[in-house]
Amino acid sequence: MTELLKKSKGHHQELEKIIQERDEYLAGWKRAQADYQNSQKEMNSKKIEYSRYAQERILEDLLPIIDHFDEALKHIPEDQKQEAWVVGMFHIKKQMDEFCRKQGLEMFGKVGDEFDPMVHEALGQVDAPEHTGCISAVVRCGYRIGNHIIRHAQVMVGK
Amino acid sequence: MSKILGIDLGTTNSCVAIIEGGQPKVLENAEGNRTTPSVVAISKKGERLVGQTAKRQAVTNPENTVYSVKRLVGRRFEDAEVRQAEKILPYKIVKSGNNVKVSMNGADYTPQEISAMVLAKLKADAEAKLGETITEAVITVPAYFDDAQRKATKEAGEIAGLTVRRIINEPTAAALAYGFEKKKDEKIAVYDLGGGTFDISILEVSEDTVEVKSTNGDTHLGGDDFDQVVIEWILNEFKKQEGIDLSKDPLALQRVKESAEKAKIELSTAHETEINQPFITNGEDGPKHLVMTLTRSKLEELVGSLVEKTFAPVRKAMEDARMKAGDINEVVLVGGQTRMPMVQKKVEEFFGKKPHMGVNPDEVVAIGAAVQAGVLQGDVKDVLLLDVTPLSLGIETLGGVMTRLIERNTTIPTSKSQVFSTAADNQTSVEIKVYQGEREMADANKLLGRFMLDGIPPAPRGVPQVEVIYDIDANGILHVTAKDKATSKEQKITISGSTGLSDAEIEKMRKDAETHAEEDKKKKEAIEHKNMADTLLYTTEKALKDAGAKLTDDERKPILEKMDELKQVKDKDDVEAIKKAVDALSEAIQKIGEKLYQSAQQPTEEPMNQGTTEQEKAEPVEAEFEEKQHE
Repeated sequence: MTELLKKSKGHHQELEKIIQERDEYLAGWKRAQADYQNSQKEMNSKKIEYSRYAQERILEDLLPIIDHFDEALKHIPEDQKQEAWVVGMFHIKKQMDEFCRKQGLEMFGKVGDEFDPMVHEALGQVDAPEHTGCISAVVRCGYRIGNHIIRHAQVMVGK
Repeated sequence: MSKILGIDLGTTNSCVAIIEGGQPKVLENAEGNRTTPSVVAISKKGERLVGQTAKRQAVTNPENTVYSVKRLVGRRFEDAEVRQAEKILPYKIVKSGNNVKVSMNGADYTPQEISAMVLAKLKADAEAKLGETITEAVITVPAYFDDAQRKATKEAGEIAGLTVRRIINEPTAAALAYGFEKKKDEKIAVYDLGGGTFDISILEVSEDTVEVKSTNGDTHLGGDDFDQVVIEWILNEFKKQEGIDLSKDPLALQRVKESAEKAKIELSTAHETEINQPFITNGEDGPKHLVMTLTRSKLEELVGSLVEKTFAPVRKAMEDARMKAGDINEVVLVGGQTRMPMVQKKVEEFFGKKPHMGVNPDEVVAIGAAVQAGVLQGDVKDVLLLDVTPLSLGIETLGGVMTRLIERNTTIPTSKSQVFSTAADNQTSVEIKVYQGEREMADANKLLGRFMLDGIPPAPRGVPQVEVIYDIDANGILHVTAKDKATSKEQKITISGSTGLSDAEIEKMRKDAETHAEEDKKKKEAIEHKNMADTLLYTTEKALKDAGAKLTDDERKPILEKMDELKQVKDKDDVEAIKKAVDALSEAIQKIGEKLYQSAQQPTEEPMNQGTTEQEKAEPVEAEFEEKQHE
């Protein structure tokens, strides 16, 4: 009889251990499932973020080229401005502007704007009493899409 | 339990990481950057600015913008370091008892209060990113920091509302990031060349502890000095070319600075880079362009002495640790400037072994801090260690190509399936040959097992659908099942030795694949073209037959000619010739496309797919496979 009781007690203990293990495994499995679902969700939101990031990176690399092109146009001698090839260049410029508009790119940073380190990067200060605390010269204009800054404007600040 | 942040509170930049799902992860700040400048300012309007914003207004507000405050933390006013800092830092350093304070906008702050402002931003941004409150952190400090400096750093954390669970050494954190704390009795050298400072530390790992044996460095040597050398080179070259000194023109100088940094970074991967800044300035005879090429060897010549300069402290540290270069077991690189191949080469030459650089050198310290945080919060224990398949598993398909079902490094248990088809008309059986390895050709890999699936009802090639399922269970046992979808007849095989390879064997197989990558690719390409040619011939023949009387002999003739041409070249190894013949035939078919269109449609979806050894052929039935999984 005691033998039987002992055996039954042993079984009971073993069962408890197994139940405990089962609970542990079930919890672990649920956690793994949850982790997976969460990572799926995160991946979906990341995808959107990455595609936006990729677009911004391309635009960022394109901006200096647009800047340089603008600079080139500024250097066209006055007496050549009516020549057909120059007019053609301005048509290309129009296409570039149209492209930027379609991307939602908006230029910012003008002389006289109040200096704001959230969107402007100060490269130096110059004596310009009429522009104290404001932009006295724009070194490189800034670009944003909506409220998102693609490139900070580099400016000189008046003092 | 809330997360514990791992924080690398740097002299110029700081970085934050956490443990998530057992893995360390760097957190981006509110502006989306992975590092945050350790800069604090009070603007003219009395606003407190931290990080990039503070940095952007620094030149307009130098006396109220504090950076490099780490150089002052825990120092006494008399310290030589403070004297030196006073000379180069634009903000005011004042005496406060024995210690120092800095002035911003009329108020004095202790260095730990300034550091706390940086930490508070890091904390707030991390909370926003994680969506939970953070109360604890592990913060790193240089190995040479004394007790006062460590205490002050801890205080900074507390002012920022963080309980500092531990202050750990930066080199130790770097070693933790690589998991070296488990390597007993190893000696580790940590070479840290950041933006403004250089540190070398020699560590020794013993039972449960990482001990700093010695440390040395140069507090005023870093990547910024490298940039400066490149800037000067560009300015000099331009002066030689155009006779104009760009350093006098602040706008041009800014563009030169940016191009110099960009060129330096590009030369870490490229051997040559072009610096191209059109319309940099105006000369007497019109606009001037800055266009020059900088090669990696030229860059190395320019900065060679700076790299060399780091080795005096390295030698000193080795001496202090009473070690020889050969005693070092592992070398770890920290800091962005160590991305430069020349730095890596020189370090390798010095220690006689390849340095570790798998972890981003800008982030490795924060990641190590997060690893320590993970140990403290008990996360690491929770992680169930899952195995991965060391090598890819696949089957042999038409032409002896290895078609992988399970890619290497896939976490197991896992299951993948793909539908294949027959390569010949009325083929009633397929042989499944299970291979393991990374080579493109099946027979160069290891054959794990093979079996036949027969009883497939006779049908034209490409029509029968045989689903092959690879399933690896948690014990690494591979079950391969092949099932004919029409008859539901299936065959399976169980392979238990699939992960029983030794590390050396696995390594050898991977190396083999790397060394043969190019030739394998060519071979595979040739076979794919041949398969494509076969498919095209087959479908054309079928289309011609189906078209019957709809086509005149005159219309048939050019096609038959082109088919003959293709047949002649298809079994030779000349890929170009096959391509040309395939194009010619395709073109010929297109000319009479209208009439052929309908008949050619049906089984022609197969062209690109490789079939199997005189048996099966792959077919993209992804959607069906997806469904199957959820049944």
